[in-house]
Amino acid sequence: MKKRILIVDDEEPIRILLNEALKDDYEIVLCDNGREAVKHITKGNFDLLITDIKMPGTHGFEVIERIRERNKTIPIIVCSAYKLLEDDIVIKTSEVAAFITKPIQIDELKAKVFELIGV
Amino acid sequence: MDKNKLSFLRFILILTTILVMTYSKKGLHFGEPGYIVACIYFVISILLSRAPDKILAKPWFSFLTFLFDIIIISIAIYLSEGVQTDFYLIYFLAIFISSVSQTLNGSFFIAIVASIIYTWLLHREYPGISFLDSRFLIRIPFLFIISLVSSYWAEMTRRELKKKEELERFNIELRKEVEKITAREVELRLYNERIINSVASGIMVVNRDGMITTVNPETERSFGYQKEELLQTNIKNIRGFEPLWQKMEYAMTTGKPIIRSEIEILNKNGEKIPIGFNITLLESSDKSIAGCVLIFKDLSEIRKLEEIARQNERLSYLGKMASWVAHEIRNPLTSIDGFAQLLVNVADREKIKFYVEEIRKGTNRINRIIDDILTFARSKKLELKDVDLRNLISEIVQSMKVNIIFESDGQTKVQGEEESLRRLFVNLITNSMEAMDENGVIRIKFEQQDDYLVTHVIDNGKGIDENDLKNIFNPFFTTKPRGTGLGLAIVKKIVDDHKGKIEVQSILGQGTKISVWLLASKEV
Repeated sequence: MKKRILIVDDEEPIRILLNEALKDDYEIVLCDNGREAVKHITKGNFDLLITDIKMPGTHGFEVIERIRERNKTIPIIVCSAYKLLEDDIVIKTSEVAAFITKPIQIDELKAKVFELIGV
Repeated sequence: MDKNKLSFLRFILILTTILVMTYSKKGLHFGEPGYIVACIYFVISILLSRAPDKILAKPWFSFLTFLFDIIIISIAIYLSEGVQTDFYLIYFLAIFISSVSQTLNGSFFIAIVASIIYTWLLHREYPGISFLDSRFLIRIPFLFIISLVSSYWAEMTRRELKKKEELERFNIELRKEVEKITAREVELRLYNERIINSVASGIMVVNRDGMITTVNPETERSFGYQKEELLQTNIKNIRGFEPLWQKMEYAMTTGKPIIRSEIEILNKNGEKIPIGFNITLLESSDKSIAGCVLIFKDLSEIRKLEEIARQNERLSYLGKMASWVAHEIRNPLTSIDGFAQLLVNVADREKIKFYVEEIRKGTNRINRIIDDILTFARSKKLELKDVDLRNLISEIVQSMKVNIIFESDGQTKVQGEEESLRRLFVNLITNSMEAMDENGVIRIKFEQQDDYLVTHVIDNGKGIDENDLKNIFNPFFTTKPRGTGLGLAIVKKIVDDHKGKIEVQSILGQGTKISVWLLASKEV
């Protein structure tokens, strides 16, 4: 049975790209906002969360906080266009497993995902 | 009559009396009654003349003095040689002097007393003398005639004198009043000058022909001219003041003051200085326009500060823009780069086609972002042409699924650059559409206002929150999930480039009205 990854990003092309890159090895669930993501995590059994930071409605930081209230163990990869945010995120939360800056290096992402949850 | 003149006349009377006594038949001999009376008369008269002015001025005192004279004269006559000689003439002199120094009543009473004593003396001298005797019939009436005539003459003289005195007093008062008014006027003028000189604004007064009549130190400072160079100089002859004179002439010709206007003139060094000014009219006493008063503020410093503020604002926007560009470009760049990486290992044609399509979407998006940035940041001069907004907006909405109602009361052409205006109305209409549900209707209303055509874009959408309303034209401010925050900033930029104006009215839940003022086409 494939491991399940939840991908949250408000940009449709990014969601499609991540799905295309990871769908062969994992079961992917896509959603375009933070609130949906929290719902999915609460209901479903996910092995990994890949989330954007700047999103309409619920901000990425808030998503991480809420998910951590419900699930302490799921690894989280932050994927953002704000390179400078990397330090902020590390400071704000030690709950993030990895920070990947857009544009994404697909191999690097795949390697990070494999490192965190295997196949 | 004043005290000195009266004393002098009485002194003559005394001397005459003593002289007559001396040269009478009996003469004056030391120790005799006549001599004693003469001495007493002399001494008492000297004492009386020394009486305080307050008592001397009293009518009763004057009356008693002359009564005393008549009695002494009568005693002198009695003691010397009686009334048969010319001694009686002294009565005339006494009555004359008393008449000129007091009222008619007083001198008339003195005349009565003198007549009675004279009659008594005559009867004593000539017992049984008839009242029809010429010495009665001629002399006594003469005493009264002297009294009347001299009183009348004295009264006339007194009146003349009084008039003269009053006139002099009036003249003095008038002079004092004139001096007081002159002093007050000088003080008022100095006070006014001090006010004008203390005012922080420039003040310049010119007459109907443009001759400068008043300037204050602030005017000298702002324009760089000395007071002497400006005063009595025609403003028309000062280089760089022509636009100012045009405004003044307009105000004086039309009779309409100019309030809160701005203009640029040249100072003495030929530098342009912006001034904010009011021109008010100066009326002469016959209500005609005698000139005008210019009150102005040198705006150079304010303009410099505004420029600094604008630069700071630009820098602040630049920072925001850099951050926004990084984020907005990186997202499409991620999909472009990502799909390109995936392409390397894909053989399936359909998949290749799909990935290339995504890459193209990404590049298109980057292109649009660059377009927005350029439109927002460009500062090129517009080439204005007549653009019919009704036609332009009709073209725009053809491709959009939206209901538009046009309302117009005349021509709908403006002076503008078509592509910029297209961008402006695409953004406005897109915003309106996004604020409404599918059944929404947009009303485009054109209205003529002076030199402007106002286009109102009115929607019945969800409206804008009051707190957001003040920020909607700020770059990178957005309330939309996928908004870039540049749409309305670009609209504002285009309106500013066209020297127009934009206003927004909105009620939450009811809709929004955006009004755009653009210079109307001159073509009718």
